[in-house]
Amino acid sequence: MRYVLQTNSLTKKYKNFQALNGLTMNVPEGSVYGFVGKNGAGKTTLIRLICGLQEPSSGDFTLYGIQSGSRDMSRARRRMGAVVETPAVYMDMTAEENLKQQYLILGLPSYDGIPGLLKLVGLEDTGKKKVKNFSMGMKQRLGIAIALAGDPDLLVLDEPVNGLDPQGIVEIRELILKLNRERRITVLISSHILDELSRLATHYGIIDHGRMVKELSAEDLDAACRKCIRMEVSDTGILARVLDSMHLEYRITSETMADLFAKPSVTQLAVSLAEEGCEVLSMTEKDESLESYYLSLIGGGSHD
Amino acid sequence: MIRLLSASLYRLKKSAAFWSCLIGMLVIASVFMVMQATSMEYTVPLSRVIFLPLSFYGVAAAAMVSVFTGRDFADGFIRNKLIFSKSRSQVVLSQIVTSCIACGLVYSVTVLYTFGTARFFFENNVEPDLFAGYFALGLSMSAAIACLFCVITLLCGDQTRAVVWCMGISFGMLFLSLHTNQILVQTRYKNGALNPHYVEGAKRVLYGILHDLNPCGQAAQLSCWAVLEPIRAVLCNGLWILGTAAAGIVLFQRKDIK
Repeated sequence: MRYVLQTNSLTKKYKNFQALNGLTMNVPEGSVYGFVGKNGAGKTTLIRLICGLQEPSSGDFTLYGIQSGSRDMSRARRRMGAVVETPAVYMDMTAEENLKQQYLILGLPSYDGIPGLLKLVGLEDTGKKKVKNFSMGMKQRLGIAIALAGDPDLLVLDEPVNGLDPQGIVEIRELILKLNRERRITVLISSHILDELSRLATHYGIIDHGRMVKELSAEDLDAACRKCIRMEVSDTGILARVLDSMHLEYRITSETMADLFAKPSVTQLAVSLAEEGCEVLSMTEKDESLESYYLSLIGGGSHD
Repeated sequence: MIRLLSASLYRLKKSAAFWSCLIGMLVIASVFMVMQATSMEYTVPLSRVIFLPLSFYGVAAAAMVSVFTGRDFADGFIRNKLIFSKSRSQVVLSQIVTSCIACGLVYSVTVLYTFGTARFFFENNVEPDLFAGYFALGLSMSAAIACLFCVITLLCGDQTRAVVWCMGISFGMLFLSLHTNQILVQTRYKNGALNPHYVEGAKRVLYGILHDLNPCGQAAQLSCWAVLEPIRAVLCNGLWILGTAAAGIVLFQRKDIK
């Protein structure tokens, strides 16, 4: 698997506050990478470091294989677009003028692409309306259009649905999915709105107190969150043999625990296990969402 | 660098801060001309009118540069510039050059407008060569002011804070220039007797350097049509330009941008 972005023990310290604490993460090419963590976990700090807005205290990262601190990093950054915290747009300019600014910064030879970008984000009819009169959703979409001006391969979005109304959330979600599927743009999204993220992400990185707690794919998460019966038995070897004979899908999770992805006759299963000399210690139904999975990982502690 | 500069200049054309400052300076220039032409009991020569609006130039430039440059931080566009620039030095230099162009334009238009209008109403005692020299000195002074306030704004990293700092410093410079000017314009003798307020020797040199180091002090000299040490004044401007640019590049390099 090729990685667009890899961080290695990245640390960022502000005076008395450790924002990132040896963070290591890997963003696969073509993925929508959901970067999950509570407020103050270090999501925005990581994005600032990647974008070159701040320097890491220690550790490093590679963007398209180019090492941070290298002179070529500016070349790698031209392949990315970013919306960090709030959309970076001039309030006293129109959407088109803002895009012209970005085109000038990028040194693009003509403004031909601007109408297409405005259409892509649904702002083609804003005309001479100043950005300060835009809704939050429109500003967010303009921020994404600006990030897309350089035709990036990686789009970094920091809390893109924060402060949006339900319709705005749907619009941004559809836009991100469209960009990922049709333009093959890798998207790194930070968010603490887990439900929203679970509709988009193909990969997840769960961060807490500046550390990566878990990195997993959407399939891994689905498997972890799949509805099942968790069984605790005295011998999982015997349990596996019995379940195989009954053609039931299961997964052994430890020496005494297994998840059973079926609805067996509990009596029949208990009798079969008893005949083999295996004791059933407990059976509980497990139905985990991303939210409960996340809480189980970070311990559900209070906010800082 | 050229890309960043062209983007900044594109924005300057549409900047309300720039146009407000320019119009404000033209209004001040007009008011001063009317006052000089009507309120005085004696006839004022053209040389004492041309640079008169510069008395408020430092404050006006501080407001314009801090609002214009600070807008990048207030609206967050500085992030786009930093992501796509080759180095932070380029960002600093492009901002400085844009501020210098903005200040230079405001200065030039104001002075040329005053000169062009006032020559019809005041006695023309202006020698073209001297005017050209003073005009060039004024340009270097406006570049020094632009560099100073631009770098302060970049280092503040926040528009409101930058405006407060720049306005505070510009008023400080204005009051300092009034003070040093008051001392340096004293004559050795007053009413036939030695003037006790006249300073001489090393103290006078020191006040002179302080007056030249302060861009508002240079503006005061220009408005009086009496620049004490033109070369020293130009050197002081060069010192401001190079010093602030270097400090801006070094300090902005380490600055965490939010």
